[in-house]
Amino acid sequence: MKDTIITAKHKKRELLFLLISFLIAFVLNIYSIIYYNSQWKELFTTLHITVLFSIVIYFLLIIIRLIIRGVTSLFKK
Amino acid sequence: MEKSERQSRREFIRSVSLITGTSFIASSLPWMNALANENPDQTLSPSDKVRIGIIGVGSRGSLLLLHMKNIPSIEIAAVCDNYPPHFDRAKEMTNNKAKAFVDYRKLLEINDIDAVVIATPLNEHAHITIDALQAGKHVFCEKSMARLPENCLAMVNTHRKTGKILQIGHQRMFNPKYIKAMEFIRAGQLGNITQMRAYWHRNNDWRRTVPSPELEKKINWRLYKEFSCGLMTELASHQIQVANWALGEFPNKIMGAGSINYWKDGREVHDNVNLVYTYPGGTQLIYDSCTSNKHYGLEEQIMGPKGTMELEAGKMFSETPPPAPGIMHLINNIEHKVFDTIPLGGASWVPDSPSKNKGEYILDEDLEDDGTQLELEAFAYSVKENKIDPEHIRQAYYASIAALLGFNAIEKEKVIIVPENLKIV
Repeated sequence: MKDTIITAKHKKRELLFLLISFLIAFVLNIYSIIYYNSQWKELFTTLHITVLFSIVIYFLLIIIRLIIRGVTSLFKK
Repeated sequence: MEKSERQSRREFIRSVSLITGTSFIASSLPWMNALANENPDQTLSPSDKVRIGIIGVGSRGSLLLLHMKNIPSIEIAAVCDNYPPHFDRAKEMTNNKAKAFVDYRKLLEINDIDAVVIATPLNEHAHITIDALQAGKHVFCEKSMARLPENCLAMVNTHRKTGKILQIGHQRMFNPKYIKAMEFIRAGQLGNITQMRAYWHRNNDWRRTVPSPELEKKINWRLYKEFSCGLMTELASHQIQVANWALGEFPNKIMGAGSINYWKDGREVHDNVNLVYTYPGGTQLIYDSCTSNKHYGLEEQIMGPKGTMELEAGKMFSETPPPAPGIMHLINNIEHKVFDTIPLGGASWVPDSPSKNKGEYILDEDLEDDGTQLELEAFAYSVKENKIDPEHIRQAYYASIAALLGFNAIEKEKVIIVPENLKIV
């Protein structure tokens, strides 16, 4: 079986996407606190939900990236 | 007491203290202070022990006996039962150390017995209690108090005349979960109580195996009107007591209906009952019990404009629960927008669906004991101190009266107003 090589650049890029996902979730948490007039302490007390939400966003981003890659590869041919 | 029993007892006392807190114990369970300071390894001198005779050692009586064996301040000095298998079992359970009697009057003649525990069929409670009190014994009698309202009154009058303690087996009054719930109710956490519901549902015939036909009524006494009012005196009285306690009033009007619609096996008492108890302030208790379906089990629900309590579950539900975190709101809204079906024609009204509020526990933890051990500890303490809270007997009395009059309301198909001559202060 062929070895799959994950380069350092690849790892950095995935970590960056994970960080972006977390930032999006965190910003959404700030937005929801303002919008629903709830307490600011939720920024920390609901951190576990924010982390879970960021993982969901990360997987959504993977799907979007795969679609973009698929479409672009079609045009390259 | 065996080492393992000492250990479990120590754990029991510690768990009550942990669950309820020391200030709670001081105010609501004062006898627990004495227990908490007790050294379980120390053998109490005979003069520190309450010597008890148990009259009626059937299923409930033998359970009480087991509990009492775990209480160092109690010595089981005598047992009495006129049914040979129970008599033999009682002797065996006390390792033949207790004096054994077939006739309770002989037991009452023993001078060095301080108190008796009565767990006989209901129709025998009154005369045995009265005889015991008049013989100078303190009495713990299982609920309900008696088969007839006037006998309940006679029991209370004898208790007051003799000055001897009369405690009735309403174990919920000693259960920390219930005591705490009553504190919350008194503090106004539900607002004024406006509605109460209670139910006890089982799915069994309530029969015990009878070795020979002539013993049918002796063994299955709960099923015959001569001895019992069935569901009303054996189950409902517990929950009516809780409702009275929560509201701080006693019902003055009772209506009800009942029938035998499933267990048509020769029993005389209803296998299902439905009642409405009205209290002086206008609040009502809606009660029902059946023996052909156990889906809903048992519960007492106390409702007010600010919240609801479910006491068996030990939970409190606020009418205005704290809002969910903002992020959860957002996620739920997204979920609804993506997955909810789009109605073509909207409803003209919003359905009053049940609240999805999961509530909060009244106590962080629940005891395994339903209050039975604690009520016996309390009884031993009351006997030693020779005093009991007068509210206890009022609660027990009105619970029994309400159960008995509820049975009469069903039987007579009439609304019953609690007569003045049955009211006590």
